[in-house]
Amino acid sequence: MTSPLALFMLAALLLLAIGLVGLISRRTLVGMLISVEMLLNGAGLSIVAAAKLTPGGLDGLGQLAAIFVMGLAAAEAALVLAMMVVVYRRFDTVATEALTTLKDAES
Amino acid sequence: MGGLLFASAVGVTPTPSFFQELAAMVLPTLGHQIMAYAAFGLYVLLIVGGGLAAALARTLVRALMGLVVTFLGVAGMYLLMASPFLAFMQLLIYIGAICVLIFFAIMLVRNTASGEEMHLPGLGQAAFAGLSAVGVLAVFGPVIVLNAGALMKDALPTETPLAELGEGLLNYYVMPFELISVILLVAMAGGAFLAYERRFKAQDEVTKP
Amino acid sequence: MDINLLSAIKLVIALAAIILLLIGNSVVMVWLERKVAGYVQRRPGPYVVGPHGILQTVADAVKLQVKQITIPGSSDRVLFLLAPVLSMFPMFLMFLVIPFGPWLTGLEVNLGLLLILAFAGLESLAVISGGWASNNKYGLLGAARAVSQSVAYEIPLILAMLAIAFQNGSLNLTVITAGQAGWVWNWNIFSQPLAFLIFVITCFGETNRAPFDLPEGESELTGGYHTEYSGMGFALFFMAEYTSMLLVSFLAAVLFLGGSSGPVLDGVWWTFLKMGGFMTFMIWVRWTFPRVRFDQLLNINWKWLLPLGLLNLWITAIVIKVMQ
Repeated sequence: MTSPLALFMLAALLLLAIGLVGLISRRTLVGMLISVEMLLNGAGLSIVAAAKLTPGGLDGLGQLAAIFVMGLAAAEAALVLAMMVVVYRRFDTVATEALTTLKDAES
Repeated sequence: MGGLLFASAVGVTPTPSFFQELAAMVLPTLGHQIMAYAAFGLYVLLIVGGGLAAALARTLVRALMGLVVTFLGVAGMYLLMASPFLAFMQLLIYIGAICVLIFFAIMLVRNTASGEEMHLPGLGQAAFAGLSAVGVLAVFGPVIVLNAGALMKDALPTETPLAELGEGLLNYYVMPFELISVILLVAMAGGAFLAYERRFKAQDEVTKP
Repeated sequence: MDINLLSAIKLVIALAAIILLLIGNSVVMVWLERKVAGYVQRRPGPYVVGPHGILQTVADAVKLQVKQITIPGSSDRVLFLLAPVLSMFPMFLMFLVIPFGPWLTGLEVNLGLLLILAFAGLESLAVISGGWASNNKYGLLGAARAVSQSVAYEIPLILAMLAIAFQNGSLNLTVITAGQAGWVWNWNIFSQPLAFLIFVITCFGETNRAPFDLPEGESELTGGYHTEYSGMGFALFFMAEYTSMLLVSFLAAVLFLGGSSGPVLDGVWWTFLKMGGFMTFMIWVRWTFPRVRFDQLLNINWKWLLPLGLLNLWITAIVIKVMQ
């Protein structure tokens, strides 16, 4: 039977994989943000698992690191959503296929 | 290999002796293990179910609800690892604040049920997504499974007292603590500035010929 | 930590008792609210069904049970039916950590106060999904208002509770209650009056009660986020609102008014007495003050309660440091 540390890390890896699927297959910015939040959760979970379930007395550090990750995720979500509002005002949509003004008009 | 236990303290109360005898009866270790593994299975189910809904749902609000379920699962996992503070902060910050923020964004950009997400992604995109997920699992999965056994500690995880976390924040890690408050301030200011709409803009457009 | 048999039995009994308490509370509250409303407005209130209209709630419950549950055609069925359930779901867990009596706590958690705050954040989600799934512009607008009000008023609430936690050195509700035992002037309301004032005002804001009940203002939004709900869905939202009132009253009793300690006989009845007093106060305020406009509501929070909460926290920290 696999050890509990492996089980928790595999759960975090699952979060990473599902977040990647969402990030690649979503067509709107908000959907991509939702997937990114999942990725951050997976990272936090693996940090805490690695800190709590290994010897070395790093319990506090792991929890503090996870709290910092949460705070940064909140700040990032706020900024990304503000940018999304600006994009919506400019392009009238948040579909990523419409945001092509930087593309070379080569044809 | 020990089982993992719930991290809530048992009430230490002065009780008459009958209750003391009852209190001395502890569930056998096998009972603890079964409960712990059952709880872990439930939380993994919540995470995978919510994650699939968040990644693949056709409406954005359903994706948001899937994300909420995922967050609940992750909070449960933190509880299993004897970090109740982290579990409650996860609920408070992620579900209480970030999900509400995403909901307001969904409302503001008016992505209704007939929006972009209703179209399924093309075959190339879907294949690339599936391939990357499988690739990540295939690369990191065996590494974890093969090496984790040697790194585990023997005792069960215990709850760090809140005073220790506070001391860490204010003594040794005070720099990241202050920096994160600066980051949050900058994010708030930047967000307000980006989304600011001039009040009399409509009036200017009307008066222009 | 070991889970011994005593705590497991305590948990199960506590859950059953809490369910009974919540149902009983809704029954009594509906009647009490209409009676107090009646007397404040100089009319007798319900008096037809049973002596003094006591059986009015039974009649209401029967009506809500047999009403047809209508689901709007173009709405999201799953979310629509899930929202009322989601609004009641976190309530049970929050009541488990409240110390009703000296050893009458369902589950004693070292971070009890944080648990209550965390699950209060879950309530806004039920409002969101209910408002969105109704596919109705009044519902959506009401949901947006309710959520922004709820999230805004959480912050001074957290600050007021933090001041209490500073003073008692712990987030454990049992420890906070035990620290107020003894004479009446040990109660936290005398040592933290500003925090109590902030707590009372934010309670009205958090539970969407008047004078801050704009999200469900009938004359403005035709019902807000529960416009499209009928029958059991509406009953569940209703019950969730009264349950959150009950929770907030218990919190006021436990955090500020001394919990189960009283001048004469200590015990669980004092907790219920204080809770009842606070609840009657909330009903009284509803029928006394007019409704506050939405921008005024948010102004009160961001421009007055937040700075006052920070000031209170600062003063508490200074006093604690000086007195050490």
